[in-house]
Amino acid sequence: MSAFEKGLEDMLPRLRRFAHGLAANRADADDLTQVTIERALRARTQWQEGSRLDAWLYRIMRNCWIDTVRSRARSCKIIESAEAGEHIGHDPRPQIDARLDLDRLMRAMERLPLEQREVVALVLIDGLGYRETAELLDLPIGTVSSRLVRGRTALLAMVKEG
Amino acid sequence: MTDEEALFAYIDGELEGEDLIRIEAKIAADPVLQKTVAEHRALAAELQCAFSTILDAPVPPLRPVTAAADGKVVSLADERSRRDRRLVSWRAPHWAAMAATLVAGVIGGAAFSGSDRTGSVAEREGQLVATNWLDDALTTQLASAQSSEAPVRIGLTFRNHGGAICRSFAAENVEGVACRKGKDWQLEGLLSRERAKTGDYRLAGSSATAAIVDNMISGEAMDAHQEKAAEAADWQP
Repeated sequence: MSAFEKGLEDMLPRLRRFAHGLAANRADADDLTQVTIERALRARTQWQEGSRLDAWLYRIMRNCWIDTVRSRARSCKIIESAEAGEHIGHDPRPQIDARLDLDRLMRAMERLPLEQREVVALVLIDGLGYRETAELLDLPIGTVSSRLVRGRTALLAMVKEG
Repeated sequence: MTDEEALFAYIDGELEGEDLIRIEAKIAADPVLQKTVAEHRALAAELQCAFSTILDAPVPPLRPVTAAADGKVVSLADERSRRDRRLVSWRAPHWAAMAATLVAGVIGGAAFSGSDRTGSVAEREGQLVATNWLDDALTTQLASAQSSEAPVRIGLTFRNHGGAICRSFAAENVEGVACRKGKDWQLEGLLSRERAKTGDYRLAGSSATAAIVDNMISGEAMDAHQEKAAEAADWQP
């Protein structure tokens, strides 16, 4: 196994976690992981040895997710999906001590605009610094910081309202 | 950096020096800020905790990693499009093949049976075109303003690579894509929809139509405003 493949394999758990931060549900997150790995393997010659593999992979994953959302926006508008139908009438029973499980947090994350969701996923979930996040997303650090404020404020409000 | 941004930078351990001292003093003097800090720390911990379960979970088998060993990358997207092609197998652009299926399935009445609105597809100069209620819906119905009761639902309106305006649609038993040519809506794809509206089939049918759109579309689909303007121009390019 090459150093690249080894690095890729070591990154799988973190990649999956980032995918769960971007995607709305677990199935989408695993699809996203799969597609990202495929794209990374095809583009492996573009990765420069010695540079950060995690940032390179996160960028690929983010682009894959943007592609998925674009192409899905088209299919979804054609006919509302059966899955969406199932959600109609879904009654999240009011639970006083509702436990914040992963699925609930993923649903809350999904309601954030992607630009906020990705900084929340990178800083709050993955633990990257502001500067690392800014470099990864190719944004000014001030933009990362302001998106983070908006994202986590909205997230807290959603979590509070249950 | 605004004070609010500085507060969050503090929570994230990103502040140092004078900024850190300033914010710490501010928080110490303000119970409301203390509460905000505590809530956001709890949220961050909650997120980290919940999402970290993914790190410990076994990674489901990923085809490409194993497949890469023999030098081949199996693509999920390729597999999907293979699956979609199977579903769209009678989306042949060749009218001969299509007409044969239509004669058997659509014009023959199976697809539109149970309704008196027959004859929604006709052959004109070797092309299949929408007529009657399908023609009406394509010509007059705006996706942005259609009733949920409408027998035909219009999906996307877009331009194809030739610049013509095309629209996707779905009725009870058929769905597809038609493009405006002169005063006609020429059918570019027509798929039968199973009567049994099980979730799987509905999704598969939709994704098949989506695949047709994906192949044809040039640029982005029209928004409500553009769709209305296109209607006003009688869907001419």
